Amino acid sequence: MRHHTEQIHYELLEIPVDASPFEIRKAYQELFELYRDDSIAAYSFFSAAERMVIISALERAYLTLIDVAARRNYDDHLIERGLMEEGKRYQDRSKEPVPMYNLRRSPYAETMGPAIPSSVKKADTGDSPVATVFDKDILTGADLKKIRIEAGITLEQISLQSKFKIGLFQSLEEDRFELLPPLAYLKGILKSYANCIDIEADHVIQSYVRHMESGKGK
Amino acid sequence: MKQAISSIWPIGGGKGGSGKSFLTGSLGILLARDGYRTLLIDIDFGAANLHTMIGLPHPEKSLSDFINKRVPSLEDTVVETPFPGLFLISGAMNNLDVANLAHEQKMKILRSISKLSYDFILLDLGAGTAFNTIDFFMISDTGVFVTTPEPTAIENIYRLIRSVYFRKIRQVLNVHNFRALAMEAEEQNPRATVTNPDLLLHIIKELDPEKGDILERELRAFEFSLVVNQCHRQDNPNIGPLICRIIQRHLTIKMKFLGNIAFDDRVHNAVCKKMPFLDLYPYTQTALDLREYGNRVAETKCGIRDSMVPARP
Repeated sequence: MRHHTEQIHYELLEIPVDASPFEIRKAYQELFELYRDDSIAAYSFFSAAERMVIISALERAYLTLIDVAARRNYDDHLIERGLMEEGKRYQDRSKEPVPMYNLRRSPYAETMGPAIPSSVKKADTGDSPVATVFDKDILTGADLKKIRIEAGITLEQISLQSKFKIGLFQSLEEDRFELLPPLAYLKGILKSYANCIDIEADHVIQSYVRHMESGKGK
Repeated sequence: MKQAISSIWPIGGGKGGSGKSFLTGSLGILLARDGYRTLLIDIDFGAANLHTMIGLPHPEKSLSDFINKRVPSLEDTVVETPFPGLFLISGAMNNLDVANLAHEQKMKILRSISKLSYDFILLDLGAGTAFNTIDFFMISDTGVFVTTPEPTAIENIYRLIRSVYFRKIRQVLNVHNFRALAMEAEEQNPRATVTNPDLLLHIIKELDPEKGDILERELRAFEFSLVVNQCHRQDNPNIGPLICRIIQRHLTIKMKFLGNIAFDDRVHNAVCKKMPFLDLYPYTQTALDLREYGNRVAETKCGIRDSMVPARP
C-alpha cells in the first residue's frame, strides 16, 4: 500500500482503473461521507489540516476522473509512467446494444465435443486383414467386434456419440437377437455403429440382417 | 494436562462505561454454554468488578495472590463460577498498589497467561491507554475494541487503537533490530516517528524495502475486531463499518466489524440484580445481538503469538 499522499486517483477512490462514472461517483460519495467535517466515525482521527489534505485530494481525484477529457489525459499520463495498461482504459459502452439473452443454441453434444477423436477414426476397408472380414456377405457380431477393435474404438465411445445404450451394442456383438429391438430400429443402431467406426453403413446393415435371418443366433 | 493453544482475546475500550465488562461476562457465558472451556481474567487493576458481573460477589482468590507470591502459579488463582465451563481469575481486592503494576510483574503475568490451557481466554481490560492496558494487547493476534456510537467514546477508541498500533510497531522494530532503521527514517523526515505510524512505515519501506515488507507483514498478521455497544435506535448503524474502513485505509492493520449491540435499559436491572442479562432477558434484541457476536468470536479461533511474548531473561 502506498502512502495516501502518493496514491494515484484510482487507488485513492479504491476503484479499478476501468471504473464507470457511476462507480466513481459512488466511491467519492462514500468516501466523502467518511471524511466530511461532521462525520462521527472519523471524529478525532485526523487533525483539521490532515482532513483538508485528504478531502482536497479526494475532490481532485473525483473531478479529474469524472471529466471525460481530463480522465483521458490522466490515463495517458499513467500509461506513460507504467502504472496502467493501455487495454484497461474505460470505454463507454452504455450507448451500445446489450445482448439480453444468449440466443445461440448450444446443444449438449456441441458442448461435450465428439466422443471419438477424429484422429482415431480410420477407414480400414482397404487391404488390412479386417478387409477380408468386411467383404463377406454375412457379418456376425463377432466380425463387427473384430473390425471395431481394429479401429481402436470402445463401446463406451460409440454409446456416447450415438446416444444409444451401451447394452444394445453389446447384444449386437454377442448375437443375442432376443435382446435387440425390431428391425426398423435395429437398422438405425447398426447405422450409427458403422458410422462411428467409419465403415460403409448400408453394407453392414444388409450383411448383419442376412446373418440374423440365417438364424445362427443363440 | 493437555497443552492446547488457547485463543486469547483482549477486550478493551478507550472510555469507561462503554460496556467492556458486560461484554466480556456475556461472551464468557455464551462461549462456556457452547461447550468451550473459557477463562475470564479481570485485568482492570484497581477497578475490578467482573466477578460481580457474573454473580460471584466474593471470589476467594484473586490475581493479587499471584502477584504477591501467595500462590505458586497463575493456575492456582482460577476460581469456578456458577456457570459450568466458565472460570475466572478475579482482579479484585485488598491490594492497593496492584493498580500500578511494575513492569516485571506485568511480564510475569503475561508469560503465565500464555501458558494457560483453555479454549478461550478473555481479558477484561481497563479503560484508558496506560501501558498496563496496552501491553495486554501484545499477547495475541486478535483483540476486541469496544466503543459506543458517541464522539467521546470514538475519540478514545481511536486513541487506544493508535496506542496499540504504535506499541506493536515498537515491538516489531525491537524484535528485528530495526532501531537503527527507524532512527534513520526519523532523521529523513522529522514527522516520521512512531506516533505517525503510516508515514513511518512508508519511509522505512523506501529506505529498506525488505525490512519494510517484514514490518508490514507483521502488522498485517494482526486482526482486530470492533464492537459498537449501546446502539440506540436513532444511531447510524453504519458507524462501525465506517470506523473499520478508516483504520484499514490509514493504519496497516486488519479491523473486522463484529456487530452492533442494541442499547437496553434493562442491562442496568440485570447488573443491579447481579444476574447475567442473557438469563434475565433472553428474548431482547440485545441478547440476540450478543449471541450473534458470541458466534462470530467462536468462529475465529486463533492462536497466540509465541514470538511476541518476551522470553524470561
